[in-house]
Amino acid sequence: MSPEKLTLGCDPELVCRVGGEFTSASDYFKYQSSMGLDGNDEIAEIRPGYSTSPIDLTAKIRAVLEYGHEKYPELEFISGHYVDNYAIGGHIHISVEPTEEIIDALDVVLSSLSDCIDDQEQIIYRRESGYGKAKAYRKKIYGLEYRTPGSFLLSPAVTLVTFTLAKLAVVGVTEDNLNFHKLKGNDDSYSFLMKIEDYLVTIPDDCREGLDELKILLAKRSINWEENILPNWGLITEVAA
Amino acid sequence: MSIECTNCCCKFNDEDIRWYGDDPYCEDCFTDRFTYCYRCDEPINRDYCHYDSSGDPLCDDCYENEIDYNAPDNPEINDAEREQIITLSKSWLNGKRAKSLIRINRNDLYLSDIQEGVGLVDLSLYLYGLIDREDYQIRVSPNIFNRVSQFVLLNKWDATLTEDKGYNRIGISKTLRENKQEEIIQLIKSIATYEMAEAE
Repeated sequence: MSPEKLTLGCDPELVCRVGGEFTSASDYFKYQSSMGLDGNDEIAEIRPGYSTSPIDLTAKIRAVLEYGHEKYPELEFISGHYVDNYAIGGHIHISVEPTEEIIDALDVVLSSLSDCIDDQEQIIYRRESGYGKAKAYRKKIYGLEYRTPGSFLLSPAVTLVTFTLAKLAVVGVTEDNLNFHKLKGNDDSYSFLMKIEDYLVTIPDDCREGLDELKILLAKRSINWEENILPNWGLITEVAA
Repeated sequence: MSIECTNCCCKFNDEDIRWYGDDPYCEDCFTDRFTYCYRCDEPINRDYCHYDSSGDPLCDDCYENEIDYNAPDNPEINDAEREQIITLSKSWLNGKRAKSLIRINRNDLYLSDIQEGVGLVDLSLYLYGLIDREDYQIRVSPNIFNRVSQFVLLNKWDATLTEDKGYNRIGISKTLRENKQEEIIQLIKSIATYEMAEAE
Protein backbone atom coordinates (compact mmCIF):
# COMPACT_ATOMS: atom_id res chain seq x y z
CA MET A 1 0.00 0.00 0.00
CA SER A 2 1.63 3.25 -1.13
CA PRO A 3 1.44 6.23 1.28
CA GLU A 4 -0.83 8.03 -1.21
CA LYS A 5 -3.43 5.29 -0.97
CA LEU A 6 -3.22 4.61 2.76
CA THR A 7 -6.52 5.68 4.32
CA LEU A 8 -7.25 6.59 7.92
CA GLY A 9 -10.58 6.44 9.70
CA CYS A 10 -11.66 6.35 13.33
CA ASP A 11 -14.56 6.05 15.77
CA PRO A 12 -13.57 8.08 18.84
CA GLU A 13 -15.95 8.30 21.79
CA LEU A 14 -17.13 11.21 23.89
CA VAL A 15 -18.84 11.63 27.22
CA CYS A 16 -21.79 14.04 27.10
CA ARG A 17 -22.59 16.54 29.82
CA VAL A 18 -25.22 19.23 30.34
CA GLY A 19 -24.24 22.05 32.65
CA GLY A 20 -21.22 20.05 33.76
CA GLU A 21 -23.27 16.97 34.74
CA PHE A 22 -23.08 13.62 32.97
CA THR A 23 -25.95 12.81 30.62
CA SER A 24 -26.58 9.68 28.59
CA ALA A 25 -25.80 10.03 24.88
CA SER A 26 -28.74 7.73 24.10
CA ASP A 27 -31.12 10.54 25.10
CA TYR A 28 -29.83 12.51 22.11
CA PHE A 29 -28.23 10.39 19.40
CA LYS A 30 -29.10 7.31 17.35
CA TYR A 31 -26.97 4.23 16.81
CA GLN A 32 -26.54 4.28 13.03
CA SER A 33 -25.24 7.81 12.60
CA SER A 34 -21.93 9.57 12.11
CA MET A 35 -22.81 11.42 15.34
CA GLY A 36 -23.98 8.24 16.99
CA LEU A 37 -23.78 5.92 19.94
CA ASP A 38 -21.15 3.49 21.08
CA GLY A 39 -22.19 -0.14 21.82
CA ASN A 40 -22.56 1.23 25.33
CA ASP A 41 -25.66 3.43 25.01
CA GLU A 42 -24.34 6.03 27.41
CA ILE A 43 -21.43 7.21 25.28
CA ALA A 44 -21.43 9.18 22.01
CA GLU A 45 -19.32 7.94 19.13
CA ILE A 46 -18.12 9.92 16.11
CA ARG A 47 -17.85 8.13 12.74
CA PRO A 48 -16.43 10.74 10.38
CA GLY A 49 -15.65 8.47 7.41
CA TYR A 50 -12.14 8.14 6.09
CA SER A 51 -9.44 9.97 4.17
CA THR A 52 -5.84 9.60 3.08
CA SER A 53 -5.12 13.00 4.66
CA PRO A 54 -4.85 13.53 8.44
CA ILE A 55 -6.04 17.14 7.94
CA ASP A 56 -9.10 16.09 5.97
CA LEU A 57 -10.06 13.41 8.48
CA THR A 58 -9.76 16.00 11.27
CA ALA A 59 -11.98 18.36 9.25
CA LYS A 60 -14.54 15.57 8.80
CA ILE A 61 -14.64 15.12 12.58
CA ARG A 62 -15.34 18.83 12.94
CA ALA A 63 -18.19 18.58 10.44
CA VAL A 64 -19.76 15.76 12.47
CA LEU A 65 -19.23 17.59 15.78
CA GLU A 66 -20.78 20.69 14.25
CA TYR A 67 -23.87 18.68 13.37
CA GLY A 68 -24.13 17.32 16.91
CA HIS A 69 -23.66 20.77 18.40
CA GLU A 70 -26.22 22.34 16.09
CA LYS A 71 -28.76 19.68 16.97
CA TYR A 72 -28.19 19.80 20.73
CA PRO A 73 -26.41 23.09 21.62
CA GLU A 74 -26.82 22.37 25.32
CA LEU A 75 -24.46 19.38 25.19
CA GLU A 76 -20.83 19.54 26.27
CA PHE A 77 -18.43 16.86 25.05
CA ILE A 78 -15.50 15.50 27.02
CA SER A 79 -12.65 13.41 25.57
CA GLY A 80 -9.84 11.46 27.25
CA HIS A 81 -9.42 7.90 28.55
CA TYR A 82 -11.74 7.63 31.53
CA VAL A 83 -14.42 10.23 32.18
CA ASP A 84 -17.37 10.17 34.58
CA ASN A 85 -16.64 6.49 35.33
CA TYR A 86 -16.69 5.49 31.66
CA ALA A 87 -13.73 4.19 29.67
CA ILE A 88 -13.65 6.00 26.33
CA GLY A 89 -11.47 5.12 23.38
CA GLY A 90 -10.25 6.52 20.10
CA HIS A 91 -9.88 3.59 17.74
CA ILE A 92 -7.96 4.35 14.57
CA HIS A 93 -8.77 2.53 11.31
CA ILE A 94 -5.95 2.05 8.83
CA SER A 95 -6.14 0.45 5.40
CA VAL A 96 -3.15 -1.81 5.86
CA GLU A 97 -2.79 -5.52 6.59
CA PRO A 98 -1.83 -5.82 10.27
CA THR A 99 1.65 -7.19 10.90
CA GLU A 100 3.60 -7.45 14.13
CA GLU A 101 5.95 -4.69 12.90
CA ILE A 102 3.08 -2.31 12.14
CA ILE A 103 1.33 -2.88 15.47
CA ASP A 104 4.67 -2.44 17.26
CA ALA A 105 5.28 0.82 15.41
CA LEU A 106 1.82 2.19 16.24
CA ASP A 107 2.32 1.19 19.86
CA VAL A 108 5.73 2.80 20.26
CA VAL A 109 4.82 6.04 18.48
CA LEU A 110 1.30 6.62 19.81
CA SER A 111 2.02 5.46 23.35
CA SER A 112 4.93 7.92 23.38
CA LEU A 113 2.48 10.68 22.47
CA SER A 114 0.11 9.43 25.14
CA ASP A 115 2.91 9.48 27.73
CA CYS A 116 3.50 13.15 26.94
CA ILE A 117 0.00 14.59 26.66
CA ASP A 118 -2.63 12.29 28.18
CA ASP A 119 -3.96 12.27 31.73
CA GLN A 120 -1.97 9.39 33.21
CA GLU A 121 -4.51 8.68 35.96
CA GLN A 122 -7.27 8.29 33.38
CA ILE A 123 -5.10 5.83 31.43
CA ILE A 124 -4.70 3.63 34.51
CA TYR A 125 -8.46 3.64 35.19
CA ARG A 126 -9.21 2.75 31.56
CA ARG A 127 -6.75 -0.13 31.58
CA GLU A 128 -8.16 -1.41 34.87
CA SER A 129 -11.58 -1.51 33.23
CA GLY A 130 -10.17 -3.80 30.53
CA TYR A 131 -9.60 -1.33 27.69
CA GLY A 132 -6.66 0.50 26.16
CA LYS A 133 -4.13 -2.30 26.58
CA ALA A 134 -0.90 -2.09 24.56
CA LYS A 135 -0.97 -3.62 21.06
CA ALA A 136 -4.74 -3.93 21.09
CA TYR A 137 -5.98 -4.27 17.52
CA ARG A 138 -8.54 -6.07 15.39
CA LYS A 139 -8.15 -7.25 11.83
CA LYS A 140 -10.88 -5.71 9.66
CA ILE A 141 -12.02 -5.97 6.04
CA TYR A 142 -10.38 -2.63 5.25
CA GLY A 143 -7.16 -3.43 7.16
CA LEU A 144 -6.80 -2.93 10.90
CA GLU A 145 -8.41 -1.16 13.83
CA TYR A 146 -5.86 -0.01 16.38
CA ARG A 147 -7.67 0.09 19.73
CA THR A 148 -5.14 1.27 22.31
CA PRO A 149 -5.56 5.10 22.17
CA GLY A 150 -8.03 7.01 24.29
CA SER A 151 -10.36 9.59 22.80
CA PHE A 152 -8.07 12.15 21.21
CA LEU A 153 -10.77 14.71 20.34
CA LEU A 154 -9.67 17.32 22.88
CA SER A 155 -8.73 19.72 20.09
CA PRO A 156 -8.07 19.70 16.34
CA ALA A 157 -4.34 19.86 17.13
CA VAL A 158 -4.33 16.73 19.31
CA THR A 159 -6.46 14.94 16.71
CA LEU A 160 -4.31 16.01 13.77
CA VAL A 161 -1.07 15.06 15.51
CA THR A 162 -2.51 11.65 16.47
CA PHE A 163 -3.55 10.87 12.88
CA THR A 164 -0.26 12.16 11.52
CA LEU A 165 1.79 9.97 13.84
CA ALA A 166 -0.41 6.93 13.08
CA LYS A 167 0.14 7.42 9.36
CA LEU A 168 3.88 8.06 9.74
CA ALA A 169 4.31 4.97 11.94
CA VAL A 170 2.74 2.77 9.27
CA VAL A 171 4.57 4.45 6.38
CA GLY A 172 7.84 4.16 8.31
CA VAL A 173 7.40 0.39 8.44
CA THR A 174 5.90 -0.28 5.02
CA GLU A 175 8.08 2.10 3.01
CA ASP A 176 11.31 2.36 4.94
CA ASN A 177 11.48 -0.74 7.18
CA LEU A 178 11.95 1.40 10.28
CA ASN A 179 11.95 -0.31 13.67
CA PHE A 180 10.57 2.36 16.01
CA HIS A 181 11.19 0.19 19.05
CA LYS A 182 14.92 0.18 18.30
CA LEU A 183 14.90 3.85 17.31
CA LYS A 184 13.36 4.81 20.63
CA GLY A 185 15.81 2.66 22.56
CA ASN A 186 16.20 4.06 26.04
CA ASP A 187 14.98 7.53 25.12
CA ASP A 188 12.08 8.90 27.09
CA SER A 189 8.89 9.52 25.10
CA TYR A 190 9.42 13.28 24.82
CA SER A 191 12.98 12.98 23.49
CA PHE A 192 11.95 10.24 21.06
CA LEU A 193 9.10 12.29 19.60
CA MET A 194 11.22 15.43 19.35
CA LYS A 195 13.64 13.43 17.18
CA ILE A 196 11.11 11.42 15.20
CA GLU A 197 11.22 13.67 12.14
CA ASP A 198 14.95 12.92 11.82
CA TYR A 199 14.28 9.18 11.81
CA LEU A 200 11.61 9.32 9.11
CA VAL A 201 12.62 8.82 5.51
CA THR A 202 9.29 9.05 3.68
CA ILE A 203 7.19 11.98 4.90
CA PRO A 204 3.99 12.46 2.87
CA ASP A 205 3.13 16.13 2.27
CA ASP A 206 -0.12 15.81 4.23
CA CYS A 207 1.89 14.88 7.34
CA ARG A 208 4.06 18.03 7.41
CA GLU A 209 1.54 20.18 9.26
CA GLY A 210 0.94 17.53 11.94
CA LEU A 211 4.68 17.05 12.44
CA ASP A 212 5.17 20.80 12.91
CA GLU A 213 2.32 20.92 15.41
CA LEU A 214 3.71 17.91 17.30
CA LYS A 215 6.65 19.98 18.51
CA ILE A 216 4.41 22.80 19.73
CA LEU A 217 2.08 20.28 21.38
CA LEU A 218 4.97 18.65 23.24
CA ALA A 219 6.04 22.07 24.48
CA LYS A 220 2.56 22.96 25.72
CA ARG A 221 2.68 23.41 29.47
CA SER A 222 -0.71 22.25 30.60
CA ILE A 223 -3.46 20.31 28.90
CA ASN A 224 -6.89 20.20 30.49
CA TRP A 225 -8.65 16.92 29.63
CA GLU A 226 -11.64 17.91 31.74
CA GLU A 227 -12.72 20.73 29.46
CA ASN A 228 -15.56 20.79 26.96
CA ILE A 229 -13.94 20.20 23.57
CA LEU A 230 -16.36 22.36 21.55
CA PRO A 231 -14.64 25.77 21.97
CA ASN A 232 -11.37 24.15 20.88
CA TRP A 233 -13.08 23.14 17.63
CA GLY A 234 -14.50 26.67 17.15
CA LEU A 235 -17.98 25.44 17.92
CA ILE A 236 -19.33 27.57 20.71
CA THR A 237 -21.71 30.26 19.56
CA GLU A 238 -20.90 33.78 20.61
CA VAL A 239 -23.52 36.46 20.53
CA ALA A 240 -22.96 39.28 18.05
CA ALA A 241 -22.74 42.69 19.67
CA MET B 1 -49.16 -33.22 18.84
CA SER B 2 -46.68 -33.04 15.95
CA ILE B 3 -46.32 -30.09 13.61
CA GLU B 4 -44.84 -30.02 10.11
CA CYS B 5 -41.88 -27.69 9.48
CA THR B 6 -42.71 -25.15 6.76
CA ASN B 7 -39.32 -25.65 5.15
CA CYS B 8 -38.21 -29.29 5.43
CA CYS B 9 -41.72 -30.72 5.89
CA CYS B 10 -40.53 -33.06 8.66
CA LYS B 11 -42.80 -33.51 11.66
CA PHE B 12 -41.72 -32.31 15.09
CA ASN B 13 -43.15 -32.13 18.55
CA ASP B 14 -44.82 -28.87 19.49
CA GLU B 15 -42.08 -27.97 21.96
CA ASP B 16 -39.37 -28.31 19.26
CA ILE B 17 -41.08 -25.90 16.91
CA ARG B 18 -40.21 -22.21 16.50
CA TRP B 19 -42.51 -19.74 14.85
CA TYR B 20 -41.96 -17.04 12.25
CA GLY B 21 -45.31 -15.26 12.15
CA ASP B 22 -47.85 -18.07 11.63
CA ASP B 23 -45.32 -20.43 10.05
CA PRO B 24 -43.81 -23.27 12.09
CA TYR B 25 -40.16 -24.25 11.61
CA CYS B 26 -37.92 -26.89 13.13
CA GLU B 27 -34.90 -25.64 15.09
CA ASP B 28 -32.40 -26.21 12.26
CA CYS B 29 -34.49 -24.62 9.51
CA PHE B 30 -35.33 -21.67 11.73
CA THR B 31 -31.66 -21.04 12.56
CA ASP B 32 -30.73 -21.31 8.88
CA ARG B 33 -33.35 -18.81 7.76
CA PHE B 34 -33.93 -16.46 10.67
CA THR B 35 -32.24 -14.62 13.48
CA TYR B 36 -33.43 -12.21 16.17
CA CYS B 37 -33.24 -8.44 16.17
CA TYR B 38 -30.55 -7.33 18.59
CA ARG B 39 -32.73 -4.47 19.82
CA CYS B 40 -36.35 -5.68 19.97
CA ASP B 41 -35.89 -9.48 19.85
CA GLU B 42 -38.31 -9.89 16.93
CA PRO B 43 -37.44 -12.80 14.59
CA ILE B 44 -36.08 -11.56 11.25
CA ASN B 45 -35.42 -13.25 7.94
CA ARG B 46 -31.66 -13.40 7.40
CA ASP B 47 -32.14 -12.44 3.71
CA TYR B 48 -33.65 -9.09 4.70
CA CYS B 49 -31.67 -8.41 7.83
CA HIS B 50 -29.67 -5.22 8.56
CA TYR B 51 -26.52 -5.18 10.65
CA ASP B 52 -25.22 -2.42 12.91
CA SER B 53 -21.59 -1.29 13.12
CA SER B 54 -20.83 -4.09 15.61
CA GLY B 55 -22.28 -6.73 13.27
CA ASP B 56 -25.44 -7.30 15.33
CA PRO B 57 -28.66 -8.02 13.38
CA LEU B 58 -31.45 -5.43 13.27
CA CYS B 59 -35.01 -5.60 11.95
CA ASP B 60 -36.30 -2.97 9.47
CA ASP B 61 -38.05 -0.91 12.13
CA CYS B 62 -35.12 -0.77 14.55
CA TYR B 63 -32.69 -0.07 11.72
CA GLU B 64 -34.82 2.82 10.44
CA ASN B 65 -35.28 4.17 13.96
CA GLU B 66 -31.55 4.09 14.55
CA ILE B 67 -30.50 6.01 11.46
CA ASP B 68 -30.09 9.76 11.50
CA TYR B 69 -30.28 10.54 7.80
CA ASN B 70 -29.34 14.19 8.32
CA ALA B 71 -25.97 13.49 9.95
CA PRO B 72 -22.98 14.02 7.65
CA ASP B 73 -21.87 10.80 5.96
CA ASN B 74 -18.13 10.86 5.15
CA PRO B 75 -18.48 14.58 4.28
CA GLU B 76 -16.52 16.20 1.45
CA ILE B 77 -13.91 18.66 2.70
CA ASN B 78 -13.07 21.91 0.89
CA ASP B 79 -10.01 24.17 1.08
CA ALA B 80 -11.66 26.58 3.54
CA GLU B 81 -12.31 23.70 5.95
CA ARG B 82 -8.72 22.52 5.66
CA GLU B 83 -7.50 26.04 6.40
CA GLN B 84 -9.89 26.23 9.34
CA ILE B 85 -8.49 23.06 10.92
CA ILE B 86 -4.96 24.40 10.72
CA THR B 87 -6.04 27.78 12.13
CA LEU B 88 -7.97 26.14 14.99
CA SER B 89 -5.05 23.83 15.76
CA LYS B 90 -2.50 26.59 15.89
CA SER B 91 -4.75 28.86 17.93
CA TRP B 92 -5.36 26.14 20.52
CA LEU B 93 -1.67 25.32 20.70
CA ASN B 94 -0.88 28.99 21.26
CA GLY B 95 -3.69 29.53 23.73
CA LYS B 96 -5.59 31.94 21.45
CA ARG B 97 -9.18 32.07 20.30
CA ALA B 98 -9.44 31.07 16.65
CA LYS B 99 -11.53 32.41 13.84
CA SER B 100 -13.79 29.79 12.32
CA LEU B 101 -16.09 29.16 9.39
CA ILE B 102 -19.77 29.96 9.74
CA ARG B 103 -21.87 26.90 10.50
CA ILE B 104 -24.22 25.72 7.79
CA ASN B 105 -26.82 23.11 7.08
CA ARG B 106 -24.82 20.97 4.64
CA ASN B 107 -27.99 19.59 3.07
CA ASP B 108 -29.10 23.01 1.75
CA LEU B 109 -28.11 24.22 -1.72
CA TYR B 110 -25.39 26.88 -2.22
CA LEU B 111 -24.48 27.10 1.47
CA SER B 112 -21.09 25.39 1.08
CA ASP B 113 -20.14 27.98 -1.58
CA ILE B 114 -21.28 30.83 0.67
CA GLN B 115 -19.39 29.36 3.64
CA GLU B 116 -16.22 29.12 1.57
CA GLY B 117 -16.73 32.68 0.22
CA VAL B 118 -17.14 34.12 3.72
CA GLY B 119 -14.00 32.36 4.97
CA LEU B 120 -12.89 32.50 8.59
CA VAL B 121 -14.78 34.91 10.84
CA ASP B 122 -14.66 36.05 14.45
CA LEU B 123 -18.20 35.22 15.51
CA SER B 124 -19.90 31.89 15.08
CA LEU B 125 -23.04 32.21 12.98
CA TYR B 126 -25.46 29.60 11.68
CA LEU B 127 -26.75 29.87 8.12
CA TYR B 128 -29.53 27.63 6.85
CA GLY B 129 -31.72 27.40 3.78
CA LEU B 130 -35.39 28.34 3.48
CA ILE B 131 -37.67 27.10 0.74
CA ASP B 132 -39.09 29.83 -1.52
CA ARG B 133 -42.31 31.22 -0.10
CA GLU B 134 -44.29 34.45 -0.55
CA ASP B 135 -44.60 35.75 3.01
CA TYR B 136 -40.87 36.01 3.85
CA GLN B 137 -37.47 35.23 2.33
CA ILE B 138 -35.15 35.78 5.29
CA ARG B 139 -35.43 34.59 8.90
CA VAL B 140 -33.11 36.21 11.42
CA SER B 141 -32.58 35.74 15.14
CA PRO B 142 -33.51 38.84 17.23
CA ASN B 143 -29.92 39.79 18.19
CA ILE B 144 -28.89 40.49 14.58
CA PHE B 145 -32.29 41.35 13.11
CA ASN B 146 -31.70 45.11 12.87
CA ARG B 147 -28.32 44.78 11.20
CA VAL B 148 -29.60 42.36 8.59
CA SER B 149 -32.67 44.50 8.03
CA GLN B 150 -30.48 47.59 7.49
CA PHE B 151 -28.26 45.72 5.01
CA VAL B 152 -31.27 44.47 3.04
CA LEU B 153 -32.73 47.99 2.91
CA LEU B 154 -29.48 49.70 1.88
CA ASN B 155 -28.82 47.14 -0.82
CA LYS B 156 -32.41 47.28 -2.09
CA TRP B 157 -33.12 43.57 -1.86
CA ASP B 158 -36.66 42.62 -2.72
CA ALA B 159 -37.01 40.50 0.41
CA THR B 160 -39.19 40.34 3.52
CA LEU B 161 -37.64 39.51 6.89
CA THR B 162 -39.17 37.63 9.77
CA GLU B 163 -37.84 36.89 13.22
CA ASP B 164 -36.27 33.53 14.12
CA LYS B 165 -35.47 32.10 17.56
CA GLY B 166 -32.03 31.83 19.15
CA TYR B 167 -28.80 33.76 18.48
CA ASN B 168 -26.75 34.44 15.37
CA ARG B 169 -29.03 32.51 13.01
CA ILE B 170 -29.95 33.46 9.47
CA GLY B 171 -32.18 31.51 7.11
CA ILE B 172 -32.20 32.59 3.46
CA SER B 173 -34.55 31.53 0.66
CA LYS B 174 -33.36 29.39 -2.24
CA THR B 175 -33.85 32.11 -4.85
CA LEU B 176 -31.82 34.64 -2.85
CA ARG B 177 -29.06 32.08 -2.27
CA GLU B 178 -29.02 31.34 -5.97
CA ASN B 179 -29.01 34.95 -7.22
CA LYS B 180 -27.30 36.99 -4.50
CA GLN B 181 -24.40 34.85 -3.33
CA GLU B 182 -21.85 37.66 -3.33
CA GLU B 183 -24.18 40.02 -1.44
CA ILE B 184 -24.98 37.32 1.11
CA ILE B 185 -21.26 36.79 1.62
CA GLN B 186 -20.83 40.53 2.27
CA LEU B 187 -23.80 40.57 4.65
CA ILE B 188 -22.42 37.71 6.72
CA LYS B 189 -18.92 39.16 6.80
CA SER B 190 -20.35 42.47 8.04
CA ILE B 191 -22.02 40.70 10.96
CA ALA B 192 -19.46 38.07 11.87
CA THR B 193 -16.16 39.91 11.38
CA TYR B 194 -15.02 42.35 14.09
CA GLU B 195 -13.20 44.64 11.64
CA MET B 196 -16.15 45.02 9.30
CA ALA B 197 -18.60 45.43 12.14
CA GLU B 198 -16.45 48.20 13.62
CA ALA B 199 -16.04 49.95 10.22
CA GLU B 200 -19.79 50.27 10.04
